[in-house]
Amino acid sequence: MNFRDSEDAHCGAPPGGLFRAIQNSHPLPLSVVFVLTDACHLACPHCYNASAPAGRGSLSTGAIFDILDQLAAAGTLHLAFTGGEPCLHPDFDDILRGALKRRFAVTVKTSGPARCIERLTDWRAWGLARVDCSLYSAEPSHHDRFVGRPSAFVDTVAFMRRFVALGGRARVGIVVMDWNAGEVSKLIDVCEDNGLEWAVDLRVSPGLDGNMGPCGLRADEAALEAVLADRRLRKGSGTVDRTPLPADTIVCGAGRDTACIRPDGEVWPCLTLPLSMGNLRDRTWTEIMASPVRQRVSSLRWGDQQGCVDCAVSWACRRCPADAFQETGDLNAVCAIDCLLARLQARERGDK
Amino acid sequence: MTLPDRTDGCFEPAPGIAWREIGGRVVVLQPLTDQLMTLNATGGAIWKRLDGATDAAAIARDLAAAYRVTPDEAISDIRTFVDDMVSRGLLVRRDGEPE
Ligand code: SF4
Ligand code: SF4
Repeated sequence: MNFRDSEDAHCGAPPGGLFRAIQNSHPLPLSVVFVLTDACHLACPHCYNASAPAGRGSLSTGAIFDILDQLAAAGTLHLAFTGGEPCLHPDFDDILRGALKRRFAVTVKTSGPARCIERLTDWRAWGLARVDCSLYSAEPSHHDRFVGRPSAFVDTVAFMRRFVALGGRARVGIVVMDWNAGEVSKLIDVCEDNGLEWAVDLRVSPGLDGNMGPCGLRADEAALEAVLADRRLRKGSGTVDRTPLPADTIVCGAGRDTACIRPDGEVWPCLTLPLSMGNLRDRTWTEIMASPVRQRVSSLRWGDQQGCVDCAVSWACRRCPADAFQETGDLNAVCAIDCLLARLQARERGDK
Repeated sequence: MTLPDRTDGCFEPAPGIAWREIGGRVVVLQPLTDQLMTLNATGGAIWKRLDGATDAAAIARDLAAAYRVTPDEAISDIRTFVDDMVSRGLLVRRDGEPE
């Protein structure tokens, strides 16, 4: 007897194949980001969350468990805990274990605080499979200066190496900025030498209050182009479909495939799009998922922006409504950074 | 009815295995490998009963009644299913020992 209809890969990769098919047939997000706390022991200057609205105080741990029950009942399969520093939540162990018992696939986005290394054995035994951390330089002192904490680099690498030694997966997020663009290749070497996965992020987003300060750290075109010249960034880019995106293409998964829960119970369409769809203190997950804001964001289509329909490099574009909203107040606006990144990606894939 | 050792006892999803019932189908995700799998109706019916407290014989009785098959047919399907899922690392015996 055959028990399997089909198989596919997900998590870390862009949603595709079976995960995409399941999401398309499911009206609620399969993936949710839960910001457990805004508190953080680091002080990264590019942090979009540093200017997060104060909110209505933190959810109790009991309320968090109730929310996890609601998410599980609504079909959410993947849960990312983030912050601030999520591991600084006083009940983080209970919350993590509760999520794993409720059969979510959990990713913890953390800086890997030194005091948590001894917790990793339990976390792995409970089923935690993935941690994501950020590194900003291959030179420990540069990283430490940027995040404002001595020994942060050593702590983060030790944390991830320990997690991998326990059989888990650890991925390094590398945000490219003006000051570190020249170090990205070396940082990828460090990741690979330590058995760590890595992902390069070419985008620096505005603060959650629209503060454009972080964007001042963006690398310029020449620096980004030099980063993209590293062939290791072309993972899986065998055959490229250069067909311009049809007008009815969904712009992104915000609100539709994913949503974000803030520490005070506010629900946003995604981590960096501060539009309230409702608050879990007042309404259920299902009620919030029926909110007009969600309908509006999840119905954004490529064709809503005429310039994008006619654009020759739309196939390489990852237009971000959150950045557009933060920069202009308009979800459909075209941001210069989107066009620059699309142009560079297209050029890198052989488009002149 | 005698069960072979390998499928005797109570099984449950291995630590970290995620799963949901979506649109009437059981979807299972192994986050360490990114493997995502949808089970057909039979597999889903068995999977949902593997709660670490119900043994295969009890599940077979339950399914035999629900699907109008003999308990022997049901136990055979359960044995095949558990074997397959254990070999993929998706199920463990309740005592936590991988098979
Ligand atoms: S590159 Fe610019 S104009 Fe072209 S699709 Fe992207 S955002 Fe629109
Ligand atoms: S709004 Fe931007 S950050 Fe949010 S899901 Fe869409 S593309 Fe990603």
